[in-house]
Amino acid sequence: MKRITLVLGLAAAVAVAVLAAAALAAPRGGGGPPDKLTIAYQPGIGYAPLIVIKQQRLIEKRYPGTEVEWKVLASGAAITDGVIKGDIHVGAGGVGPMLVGWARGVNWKFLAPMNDGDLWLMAKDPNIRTIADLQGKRIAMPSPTSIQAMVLRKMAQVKLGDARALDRGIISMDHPDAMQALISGQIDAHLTSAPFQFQEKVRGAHVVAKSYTYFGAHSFLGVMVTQKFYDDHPAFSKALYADVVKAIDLIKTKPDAVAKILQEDAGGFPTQRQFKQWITNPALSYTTRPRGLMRFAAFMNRIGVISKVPASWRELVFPPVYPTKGS
Amino acid sequence: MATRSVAVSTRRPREARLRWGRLPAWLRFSLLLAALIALWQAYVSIEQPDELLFASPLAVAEAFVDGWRDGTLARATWTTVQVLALGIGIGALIAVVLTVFATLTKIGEDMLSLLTAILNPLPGVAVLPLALLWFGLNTNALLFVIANATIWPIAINVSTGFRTVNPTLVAVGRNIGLSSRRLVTDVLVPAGLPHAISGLKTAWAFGWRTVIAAELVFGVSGADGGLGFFINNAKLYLQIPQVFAGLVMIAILGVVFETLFGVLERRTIVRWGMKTS
Repeated sequence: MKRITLVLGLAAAVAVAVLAAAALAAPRGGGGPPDKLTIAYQPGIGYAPLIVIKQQRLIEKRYPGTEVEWKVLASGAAITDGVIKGDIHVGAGGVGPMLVGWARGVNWKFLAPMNDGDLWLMAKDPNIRTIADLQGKRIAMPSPTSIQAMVLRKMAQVKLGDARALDRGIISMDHPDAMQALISGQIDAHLTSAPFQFQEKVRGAHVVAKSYTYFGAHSFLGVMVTQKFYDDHPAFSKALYADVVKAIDLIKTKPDAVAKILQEDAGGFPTQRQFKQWITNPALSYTTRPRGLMRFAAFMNRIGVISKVPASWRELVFPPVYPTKGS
Repeated sequence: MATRSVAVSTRRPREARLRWGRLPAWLRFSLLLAALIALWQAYVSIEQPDELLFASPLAVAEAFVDGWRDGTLARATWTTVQVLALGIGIGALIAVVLTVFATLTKIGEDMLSLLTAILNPLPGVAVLPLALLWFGLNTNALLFVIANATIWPIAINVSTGFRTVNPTLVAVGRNIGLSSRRLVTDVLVPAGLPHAISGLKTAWAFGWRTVIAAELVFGVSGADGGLGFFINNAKLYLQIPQVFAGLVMIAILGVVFETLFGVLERRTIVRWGMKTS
């Protein structure tokens, strides 16, 4: 009898522990602006609008009661985890993880797309000139669910007839690491974004292919929040959208000032001139108007990455984005 | 493992033995496992946790079967086991060479003590960043890390085994006129075997943890990834039941290897009366 009691007691203890863990993980609700806000983004010049908001303290100026914490994480997947768990309230990332999450039931959307971005596939070995040369080669990108991975699969489908032909070569690495690895010859190719593609070009790599060739001009990064966050803090969300618009205006009208902000955020390196060149390079154009979301969703659905397709691009964004007439 | 529980339960009060301890071992463990799974299902049914955080046993079973049917889970398991076996093989080989030197010469013995003292406490994954630099992003880096994690426990145990052989046994062997070759194969090796087996067991546990952790940290690449990669990849695609299926696979393999070691021990050291079980 004692033995059985012990077993039952142990089982109960396990159950209590599990329930307690679940209770701790549960997000808490709210009314007006959040008391505490965690915003996460990734390394890269594409996040410039957020860096401007961070450095100009736009959120704190509008909502002095809100404590804002900024995090820079290595991949969109890490940001997805944080948003699911409730540790991250505002996440910024590429179209890939956003759509994967959306299709799997992470109830989130773009609150503010930030840019269209041409993503370049870079290689250093002069013998790698076309997509076909990449078979059996190691290609770095942030993760197999990143927008870069979708672009690679599209390239493989168009050029090699099989979307998964290059999947074996995908190596998950954040952009700064992958850039080092490419330059030092540890990997064969890097499907990346600005400014890494610019830096790699300067350091002896060449462009093998560009994403715009395959998807047309398309959205790259955006700011994502969950439906729950949007419903709990509608005014705050709209204000955040307005801040992104404001930051983008600043990037366009005062690139020198923004370059200085970015340089300060980066700790003084590289130079302000360098940052200005990067943010004015046409491979990245800052806009809150989404483009090509449906093309990505349809493609990802066709190759089995996501199980459902939105009926319209509006299902992937919150109301403030509607007037931009996206696609 | 099972027989040991019987030994424990004989010391239990009489009534408990009647109800629980009298059941055959496989039934007792199956019942406990079923109870745990029922509890798991009950939690999911009652609490209805977010599907992105927690999976039900049913969904996990489904993902497990699907994973075997489409070959992804089988391939990942095979990759991991292969890498692990090769890594431990290399580790054991180096360990034996080191131990032979340590047994033959004093300087070898000191060297082994020193190396073990320095390298044994290093968690296997800690050297992964270096291994990646030295060997690149491929299986060699994994093999290096696993070998490093397994050499030291094996070497320590085997050399202890040789050094702690009862001198009387060796003397008896000499007395009855065994050749030095037979002295090694019939006296020294069997006498050192309990230590060798426990070294191998520790090595397996270290190697197993190391390979999964290393695969989680850097997923080598696409279709060639092992179980750690499978789990990480499933998580990236937010396929939580698949994540659980990968974990279940790891647990099953753990039980299988534990059983194999049990059989090995029963066939050798338990039968020779060197270990009570």
